[in-house]
Amino acid sequence: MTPLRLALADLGFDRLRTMLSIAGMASVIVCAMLLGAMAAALSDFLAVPSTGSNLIILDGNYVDPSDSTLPDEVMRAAEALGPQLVSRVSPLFFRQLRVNDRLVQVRAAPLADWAGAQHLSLQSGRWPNIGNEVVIGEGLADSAGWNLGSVLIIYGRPMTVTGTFRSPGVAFAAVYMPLELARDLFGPDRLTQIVTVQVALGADGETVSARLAADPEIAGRFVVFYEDTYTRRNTELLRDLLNLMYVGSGLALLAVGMGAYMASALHLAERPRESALLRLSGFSVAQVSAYLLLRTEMLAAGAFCIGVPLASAWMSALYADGPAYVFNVPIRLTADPNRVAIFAALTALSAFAGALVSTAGLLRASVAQGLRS
Amino acid sequence: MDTPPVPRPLVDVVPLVRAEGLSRHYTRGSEIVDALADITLDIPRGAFAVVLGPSGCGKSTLLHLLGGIERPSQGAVTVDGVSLERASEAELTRFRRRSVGFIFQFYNLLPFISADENVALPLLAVGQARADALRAARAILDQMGLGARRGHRPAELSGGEQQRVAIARAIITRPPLILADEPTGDLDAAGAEAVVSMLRDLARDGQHTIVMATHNQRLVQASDQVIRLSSGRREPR
Ligand SMILES: Nc1ncnc2c1ncn2[C@@H]1O[C@H](COP(=O)(O)OP(=O)(O)O)[C@@H](O)[C@H]1O
Ligand SMILES: [Mg+2]
Repeated sequence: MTPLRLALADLGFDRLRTMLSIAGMASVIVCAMLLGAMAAALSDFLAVPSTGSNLIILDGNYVDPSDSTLPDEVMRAAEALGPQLVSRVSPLFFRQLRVNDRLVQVRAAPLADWAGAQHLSLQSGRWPNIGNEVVIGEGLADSAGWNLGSVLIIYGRPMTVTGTFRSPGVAFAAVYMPLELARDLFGPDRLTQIVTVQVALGADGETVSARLAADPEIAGRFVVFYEDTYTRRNTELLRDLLNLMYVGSGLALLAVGMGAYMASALHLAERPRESALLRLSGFSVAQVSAYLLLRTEMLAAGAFCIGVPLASAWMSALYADGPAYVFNVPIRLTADPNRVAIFAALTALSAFAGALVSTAGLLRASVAQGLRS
Repeated sequence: MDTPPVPRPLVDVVPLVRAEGLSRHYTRGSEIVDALADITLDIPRGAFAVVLGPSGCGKSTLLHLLGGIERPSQGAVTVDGVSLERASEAELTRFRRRSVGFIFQFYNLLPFISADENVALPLLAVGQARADALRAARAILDQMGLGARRGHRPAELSGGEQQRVAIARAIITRPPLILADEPTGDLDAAGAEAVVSMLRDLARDGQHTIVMATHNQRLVQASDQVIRLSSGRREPR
C-alpha cells in the first residue's frame, strides 16, 4: 500500500468529513484569490507613469484647490525664471461639477499644453476644436459609459465628447476642456487653481522648486510640489487600500496553511492509532509522514480545484455588468494564470507546512503511545 | 560409562527472546509509575509463552518492549538477535518488518481499507508489488475461512472475523515472534477457543514463537511457559 493509495482510501472513507475540510479551505482560497485580484488591479492602476520633474504651485491654505484662485503674479513669477530653468508654465482650472448626474472633475488648460505639461495622451477620437467640445479620461468613459459623440451637459451647456485620453496621476476620471471654452463658460476671472511648471530639459527640479518657493510672490502663501508627490498624496488612500489587500490575501493564504494544519491535526487527534498501526505493520516514520502529508495536500488540491473556478466565476459575474469601481477607478478582477500558479504553489506550500507541524510531534512519540491513545 | 554431551543446535541454545533487568517507568504528573520493574526472562524459539496477571500489572508494557514499539527505561532486551534497547528508529522499523507480528484485544485494523488490504499491509510496507501482496493475503484469508470476506471493511466483520484478519496480518511475513495482547478478551468462548488453538498451532509448527498476555488463568493450560506478573514485577513461579 503506497502512501498515496492509503491517503486516497482514507479520504474516500469519510466522505462527509473530507468534503467539509475541502469546503473550509476552498472558501479561504476564494477570499485569497479575490483579494489578490483586487490588489493586482489596484497596483496596476497605481503604477502610474511619472510626470518627471513637473512642478505644481497651489494655494497652501485650501484643502481643495478648486476653492482657491491663483493670481497671475504666480504664473509670471514662474515664467520669470526663464527658459533655462522653465520650459513651460501652464495654468490649470478645475471644478467638481454635476455632469449628467455624475460628480465629475472638470479641468481646463490651454489646448497647447495638454500633450506637454498636462501629460494627456489621446486614446480614441480627436482633441477638441474651438466649439463646445471636450475629451474625457478613459476611467470616466469606462465608469460612466460615455463615449465618442456622447453629449454632456456641463454647467448648463451641452458639450460633445470628441476623444478619450489616458494620463498619469489622478486625471483618469476628469473631463478636459480648452481654457478658452472654460473662460467662455465660467467667466474670465478666477480660472487658475494650479500652476503647472514644466522644468526645462537639463535643469534641476530641486533648484527650480527652491527658487519658486523663495519667490516673494509665492513664499508664505503658495506651495510648490513635485507633481508626482502631489499625485501620490492624492492616491494615498488607494495605496493604503492596496496594502490592506496584500495583507489580507497573505493572511488568507496563511489561513489555508492553518486550515491544513487543523484538518491534519484533527485527523491525528481523532485517530492517533492509525499511524501507530501503520508503523506497527512495518511502515517507517517517513512512509507514515508521506501518507499524512499527501492526505493534506490532496485536501488542499481539492480545495484549490473548487476555490479557483469559484473565484473566477465570481469575478466574471461581478464583471457581467461592467467593472467594479473604487473611487471611480475601474477595477477589473481577473484570475490571471500566473497569479493562479503562484497561488497553487503557495497553497501547496502552506498546506505542507501545516501538515508538517501537526505530524512532527505525533511521529516523535513511540508506537506504543499511539496504540494506547 | 560417561558420554560427552551432545551439542544441541544453536537455535535451541540462544533463546529468541532474552530480557535482563528490564524496567519501564512512566511519569504521570509528578508521580512515577513503575509499569515494569527488573524483568529477566528467556523465551526459547517455538515456545507458546503466556504472560499472566491482573489488569494493570504490566503485561502490555512487557509486550511493547519485546516488540520494539516502546523503549525500556533500564535493562536489556534482545529479540531475534537485535538489541532493542540500543536500536535506532530505522533498526526498529527493520526489526518490526522482519521479526515481529502483533495481535491485540481490539484487533486494531485500519477501518478505511478492506480485510485483504489490511492483511497485505506488512508486505506493502516493504515495497512488495500490490498484486503479489494481495494474492498472499487472500491465500491466508482463504486458509482461515475468510475468503468470502476479503473485500469487506473491518466494520463489516464480526469480532471473531476481525481477530482472524488481525492474526493473518501478524503472520503474513512469517515473523519468528508473535505478540498477542489479550487476543481473546473481546471474544465469546467459542471465538476465544478458536484464537487460542490457532496460536497454539502456530507455535507447534516451530516457525513461530508466541507470547500471549492474558488475565485468564484458564488459558495457561495451553502454554509451554508462564510468566506471572504482579505490579510490574515477575513472580517466582
Ligand atoms: N503511557 C503511560 N503513561 C503512564 N502510565 C502508563 C502508561 N502506560 C502504562 N501505564 C501504567 O503502567 C501500568 C501497567 O500498564 P499495562 O502494561 O497496560 O498493564 P496491563 O496490560 O497488564 O493491564 C498501569 O498502571 C498503567 O496505568
Ligand atoms: Mg494490557
